[in-house]
Amino acid sequence: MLNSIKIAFRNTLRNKRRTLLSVFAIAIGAFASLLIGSFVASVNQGIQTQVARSSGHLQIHKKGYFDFGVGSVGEYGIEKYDEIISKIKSDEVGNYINVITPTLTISGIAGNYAKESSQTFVGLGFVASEQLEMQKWDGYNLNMPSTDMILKAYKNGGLIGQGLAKNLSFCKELNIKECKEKKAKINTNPIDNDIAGFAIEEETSSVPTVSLLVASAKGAPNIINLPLEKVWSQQNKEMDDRFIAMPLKTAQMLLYGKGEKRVNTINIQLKSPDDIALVSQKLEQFFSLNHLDLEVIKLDEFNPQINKVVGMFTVIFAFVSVVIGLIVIFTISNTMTMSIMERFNEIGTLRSMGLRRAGVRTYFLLEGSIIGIFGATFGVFLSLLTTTIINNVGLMWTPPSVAEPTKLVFNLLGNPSLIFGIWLFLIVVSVLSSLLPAVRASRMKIVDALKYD
Amino acid sequence: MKSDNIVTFKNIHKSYLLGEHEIKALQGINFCVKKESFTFIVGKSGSGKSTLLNLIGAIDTPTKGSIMINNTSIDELNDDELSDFRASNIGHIFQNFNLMPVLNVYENIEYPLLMINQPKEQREAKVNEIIKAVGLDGLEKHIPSELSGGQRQRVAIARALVNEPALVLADEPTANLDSVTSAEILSLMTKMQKEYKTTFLFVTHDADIMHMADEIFVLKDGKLTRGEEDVK
Ligand SMILES: Nc1ncnc2c1ncn2[C@@H]1O[C@H](COP(=O)(O)OP(=O)(O)OP(=O)(O)O)[C@@H](O)[C@H]1O
Ligand SMILES: [Mg+2]
Repeated sequence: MLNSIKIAFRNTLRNKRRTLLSVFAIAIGAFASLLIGSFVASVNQGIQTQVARSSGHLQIHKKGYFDFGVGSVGEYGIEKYDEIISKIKSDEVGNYINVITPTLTISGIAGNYAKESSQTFVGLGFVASEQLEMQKWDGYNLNMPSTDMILKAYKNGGLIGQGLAKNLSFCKELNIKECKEKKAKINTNPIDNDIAGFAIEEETSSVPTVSLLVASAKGAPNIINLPLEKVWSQQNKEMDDRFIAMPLKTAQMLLYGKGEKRVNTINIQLKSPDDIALVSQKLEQFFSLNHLDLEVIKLDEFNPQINKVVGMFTVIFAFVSVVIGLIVIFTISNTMTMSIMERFNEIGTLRSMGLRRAGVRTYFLLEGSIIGIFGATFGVFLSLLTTTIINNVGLMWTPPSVAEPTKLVFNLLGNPSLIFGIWLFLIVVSVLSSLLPAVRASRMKIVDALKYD
Repeated sequence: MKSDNIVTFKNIHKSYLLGEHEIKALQGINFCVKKESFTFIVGKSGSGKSTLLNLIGAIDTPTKGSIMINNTSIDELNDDELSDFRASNIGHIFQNFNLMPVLNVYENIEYPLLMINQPKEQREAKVNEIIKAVGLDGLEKHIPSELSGGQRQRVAIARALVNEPALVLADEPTANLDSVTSAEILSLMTKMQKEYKTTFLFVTHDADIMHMADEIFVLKDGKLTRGEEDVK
């Protein structure tokens, strides 16, 4: 075998130009697939990171909430959620968990009465310190900037979506740039205008406050005035137009008044994104063991957008891979056919000295794999070099379904399985493309092969 | 029961189909070659010499008839068995030398020993010995393109003999050499044949060297006659 490798290797060096061309073809194939592949991986991981930071990897709900809860939030509250959380933490499954934090989603009407504007809102009650901890997650080592800043300075007030803030005319108070304030209603009388003007003056001098009206779990209306701290833009416009975040206690007060406090979601952020399925399964077991009427929803279920975006990029990646595979097949089989044709006489000679058909095949398959190994390896290094340069130059782009431009990242080093996969794929393709010419060469009649010169 | 003949042909026919035309290259050959002899096959161009030699070398199969080589009936062997048979029983010397261009002198000669899986030490001893015998010492590391025609044919002779085959076949081995070199190569072959006690089967046009033969077969239109008198 060692001898065969030696011979195959020397044979690849015979027509250096042709061999180099094939090596380059494979290298460029590796380069293109690795760049696209690592880009897709980075987009995927970037979106996953964003979702994991804001909502965690898993969400625990009362059974049925995920499917039917939107209309009747009050019905699906998780009782004694504090106990459940501390039980999960001390359970074996707790080892996989980075942050576990409760949230309560409420809805109602938000108003800025000074400006006579009101709007339906979706409120998120959260535990700020734990949300801040979630924002630090970087399980894919992307060094993505987070919304840290907002939560770091956060005290106890409300954070409002930019769209909602505009709708409620909080532009000036919250320093929103490029903000067209809604025109005041035309049919208001002069006296009202005077009063409104007076009110504005008062508002600007103090903290902007939004009034929230919510129907409590028992059906009674609850109202509070929530001082606003900052704008917290949401990626999804529909969400941004209705979003207000507030302390969990505030949301609970609005929904439950003086009754028992509940939440409707327990968010779980894992240490590693690889454990989603495992932990979800363990939690299900935990629930049935403890007779809890709860269910676990995975990240791709509560954020189906992920699958769409990733699916699109995966299709592009697959398409490019197929094209590259075809080019490699064509190049290698062409190279091998040519070099076999030039060596009919040698094949005949070796066979007449007693080399079996399999031996002839081995030589050419080895040549194909040598070209494949060199090309793929070269391509890997080329891609590593290029991605490192691009990552350090710091180009910006705006990924789909994301509000702000982010750094263009090719996370190639962080995806060794992608590198190895493409590397192996191209070598296998090279060997397979040499197979047909090699088999033909081995089946030649010896006397015919010897006639060539 | 072992015979004194290394090659036995029984009623061998070989025809080629060229379109609808049948070319009868060999027509009912019966003959034997004695062990350890230096045997010539002569005849005009197109008489079937190469065809005959290819059948003996087990690299071609007859259309009809049976062939026995070194007490093995090769008609019954499959392709792999035939390959193994060639590897241990037959050495080929070609008109164009047919050395492996990517292997040096030493490696070219070593190749047949690798084919029969001989251990390294024996291999080295064998190759070095035969390199001396054919007078190529000092050229071990040279590749074929760096050698003269005569040197190349010496490598080919060494390669054909290194695994001590019972039968060495040479199809016009001197056709590409000048007369002086041809004479050298011929005397080397006779010397090696005696030293290695092997059978040499030699196809040639050359009437001047007939005196060297132990036995001469003459082919004419695919049929065999024996004796020098038929040549001319
Ligand atoms: N592959 C083939 N296809 C068709 N005809 C062939 C083939 N090989 C040989 N022949 C024919 O068989 C006959 C014998 O050919 P062969 O090569 O054995 O002659 P030869 O005696 O070796 O001639 P030379 O001295 O010119 O080498 C010739 O008529 C030749 O045309
Ligand atoms: Mg001939």
